[in-house]
Amino acid sequence: MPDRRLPPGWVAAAYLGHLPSIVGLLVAGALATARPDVWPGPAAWLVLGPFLAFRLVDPWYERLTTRFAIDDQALTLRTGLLHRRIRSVRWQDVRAVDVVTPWGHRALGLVRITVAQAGDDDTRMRIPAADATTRAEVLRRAEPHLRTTAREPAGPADAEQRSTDADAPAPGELLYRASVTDLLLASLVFGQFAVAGAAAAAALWELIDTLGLASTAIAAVEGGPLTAAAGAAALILAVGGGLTVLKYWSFEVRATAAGQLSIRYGLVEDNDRRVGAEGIAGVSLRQNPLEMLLGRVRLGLLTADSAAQLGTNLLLPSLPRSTVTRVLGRVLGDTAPPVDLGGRAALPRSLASAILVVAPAGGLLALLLSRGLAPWASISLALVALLLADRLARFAASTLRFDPARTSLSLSIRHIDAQQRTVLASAVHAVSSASALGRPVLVRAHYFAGAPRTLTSARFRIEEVTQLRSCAAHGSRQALLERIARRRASPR
Amino acid sequence: MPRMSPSATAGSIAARARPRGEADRIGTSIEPPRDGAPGEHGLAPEALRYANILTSLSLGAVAVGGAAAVLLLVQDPGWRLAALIAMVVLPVAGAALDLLVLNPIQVRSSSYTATIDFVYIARGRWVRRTVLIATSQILNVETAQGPILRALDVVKVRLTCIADVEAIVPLTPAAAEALRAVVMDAQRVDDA
Repeated sequence: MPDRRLPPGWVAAAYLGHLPSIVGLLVAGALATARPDVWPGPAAWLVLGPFLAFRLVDPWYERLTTRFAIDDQALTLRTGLLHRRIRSVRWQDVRAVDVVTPWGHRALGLVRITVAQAGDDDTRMRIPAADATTRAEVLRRAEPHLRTTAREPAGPADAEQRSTDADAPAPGELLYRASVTDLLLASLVFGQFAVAGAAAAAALWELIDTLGLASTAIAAVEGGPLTAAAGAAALILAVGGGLTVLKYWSFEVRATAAGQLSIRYGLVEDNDRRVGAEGIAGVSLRQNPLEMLLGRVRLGLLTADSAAQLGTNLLLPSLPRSTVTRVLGRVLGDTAPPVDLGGRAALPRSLASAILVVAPAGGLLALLLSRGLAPWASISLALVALLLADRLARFAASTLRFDPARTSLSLSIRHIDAQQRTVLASAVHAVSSASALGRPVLVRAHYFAGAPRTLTSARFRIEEVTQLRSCAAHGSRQALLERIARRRASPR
Repeated sequence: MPRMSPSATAGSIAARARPRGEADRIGTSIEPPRDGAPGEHGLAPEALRYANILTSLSLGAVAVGGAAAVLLLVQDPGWRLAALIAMVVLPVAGAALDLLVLNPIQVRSSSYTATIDFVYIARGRWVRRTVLIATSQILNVETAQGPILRALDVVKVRLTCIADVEAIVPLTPAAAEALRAVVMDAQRVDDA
């Protein structure tokens, strides 16, 4: 039975970490109480009170009910009081380890550890707070099962000693470190600025409104609605960019001495994610028209536990093609796919695709409006046509290729943007196909990256599909056998 | 497509599934069939009867439901008679097409191959669908038997994996057990 408790500093760390939220709730409650004439008045406590109580009680509840055990075989976690739950994950099944240091934890020398097996939440085990000894112990147990490329890492292979030092930078070869410009660019490319910036701007406006200063603020904006809109856009851009830089500060990727891939970032909250080779199903490469012009590429990892992007598996926000090629080679070794998204030469195709998608919808909109259909109905139908045309054109522009030398499968989509998703044959679980009157018309490769996913295309070479099927059947088994060999070789 | 008796089919798969040492299981593996090619094993001999029973039941239900709807909803005697005839003729014609042409083709064109490396399933003649699953990636083999299958002494086998794979139905219990044994044998490599 698990018998180790969360460290004594956990409750203080949780309170510290949630301090902005607790203070925000108290301030909101105080304002609501002070302004009974403004809806909802003191009744706001009906909503704020339970949130505040949860924030105050939850750390104690977790401290009292969470127990864990670490042994040679597995990590075991027991949670809950009335609905008690005991879960174990074998070290050999671990695909990624996340060590996060929120600022509340940092003040007390603690970290939060998440051990991931596959994509589902049920397969993730989270220790809310762990001291340096526990962190070192988890990494030491997991590291033999988190191996990356066939190439030897550049640094000395003294993983155990390094991993015991919680404050040391990620050891091994530095593959990439993002500059502030890179992060700002990433914020724009991913739309982070829109999400974070708009939310922050909305919160600011809510606060101004609550304080009764909304009319004053509107009056203060001279120059009419255009100036106000430009000001709001600038505010969203600045706040969004600033938040992205703050969150992903010092974003760096390393091939660690223990042979894993380490992604580390964060100023207020330090995140250290380690992924092993068995967890990597493939990579995704993307270029939007702007990146085609600038010769930049975005690289993402498809790992067994997640296919999410920035902050989990994204390696390069948007970097020169040569850098992406170098990192890919380091991460995947001989199986690294060539970075061939077209670059500037793909711009005419991108433009043609955009016209192909937009023109029918525009024509439909003009036709419907000229026939006297209501504008909202015309716009809705045109939007549906736009989406349909985009999906059809994207599917028609998809090509599936199998590379026997690298034993990897790539789906290239040359549309308005250029995409390439490459999956290792050993990660392909199944290959399905359809043919009409003896002619192959559709092929689909199934793989797992956080959830069941597929590469589907109507454009392929049947002889390559035959090679893929053979490789998927034998390669998958080979991967199993290699895992057995490693398991036998690794210390229990 | 090579045809075998159920016992021969079960026996040939079971021979591959025989519990052996890990080295034996690694053994020689065969290449997957080319795309669209038939698998080694067909469905149970009762497959055509099963398909015909399903067709008769479903089209019978459509005919009865349709006739009831016509009697309730259509008041005009002329239209009612025409609709009743249509509701009987169309399902009967559909059933005849299914029973005489489509079901035999569907049964003949359905086949599978199971090895320790892969499970291959092929279906359809004019529109042919195939799926090849790496055996080590199959999570579970589910065997089910409803009242019709039980009456015919056959079972439905569903392979659980990340892809959505149609059930293989019907198989003889021996063939289903042999298929399960092949998959489980491959899984044991993982637990070795």
